[in-house]
Amino acid sequence: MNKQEFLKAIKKKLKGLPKNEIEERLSFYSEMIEDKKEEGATEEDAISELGSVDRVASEILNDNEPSLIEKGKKVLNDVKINEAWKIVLIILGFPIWFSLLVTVFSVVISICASVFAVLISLYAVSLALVVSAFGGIVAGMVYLFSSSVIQGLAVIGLSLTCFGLSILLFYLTNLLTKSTIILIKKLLKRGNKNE
Amino acid sequence: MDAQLKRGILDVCVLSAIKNEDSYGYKIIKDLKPYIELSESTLYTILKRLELSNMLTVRTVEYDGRLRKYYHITNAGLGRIKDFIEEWSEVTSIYQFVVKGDAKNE
Repeated sequence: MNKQEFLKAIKKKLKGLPKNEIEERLSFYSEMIEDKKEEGATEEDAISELGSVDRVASEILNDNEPSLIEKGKKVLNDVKINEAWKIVLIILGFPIWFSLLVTVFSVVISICASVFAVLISLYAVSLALVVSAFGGIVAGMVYLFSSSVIQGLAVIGLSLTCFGLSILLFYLTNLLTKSTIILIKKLLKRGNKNE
Repeated sequence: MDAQLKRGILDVCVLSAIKNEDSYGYKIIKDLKPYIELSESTLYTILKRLELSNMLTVRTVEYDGRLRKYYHITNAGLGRIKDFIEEWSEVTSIYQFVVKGDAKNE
């Protein structure tokens, strides 16, 4: 049997295997036979060294569970499919993720607005307290000079307390505002870093 | 040699055969012959497996009017050889232990 016949006979027994694997295997053996011939062996000897046609064919067939080439191709294809699917899903999901993004954004802005509204109210309260304090002092003075000394002193005392409270509130609200601004800056930085 | 043991060693044997210079199928079998018997089908399987796990790369070179495939070891392949050497120093000491135990019973 010569090399062509040998390889042809093996190929017949490999029916059912993927074409490119058959080709690869056969060229591997063909290379082997040629190399042995180069070293001085006859084609017959080279072939018999490989084994009988049946032996070689069954070795090849037993090697497949699924064949290694197909496994390798499958790995490459799976990766390609994953990448393509990712892009398709992103495009298809546009209405969903975009609306979600807008919603989250709006919620965040509402929260910020509410927080600032609270801060502004606090400032308003301290302003109101200052104004009341002044009003109270004036009223208290009037009482004092119209001989309701006790009431006058009480009102003046109350007004001064209001004044003190307003200063305290103003100071605390300032602190609150500053910390809120720092917190927002931190969150923005972290948000930007994660992008 | 025990079939399972042989399978574990053969990958590294083939890698070693192509470590210092690229080699081709028949030459690999020849170089390994003094140490371990390797059939052509087995070598094909090993080379395929090593290629899929990126331990070697293949290139086709024209030689004497025909095509010949040359195999080249990768860094991953070199790493595999290193791991094998480290793992097997353990095996050697276990071997010593077994031999000693066997000698005593005689």
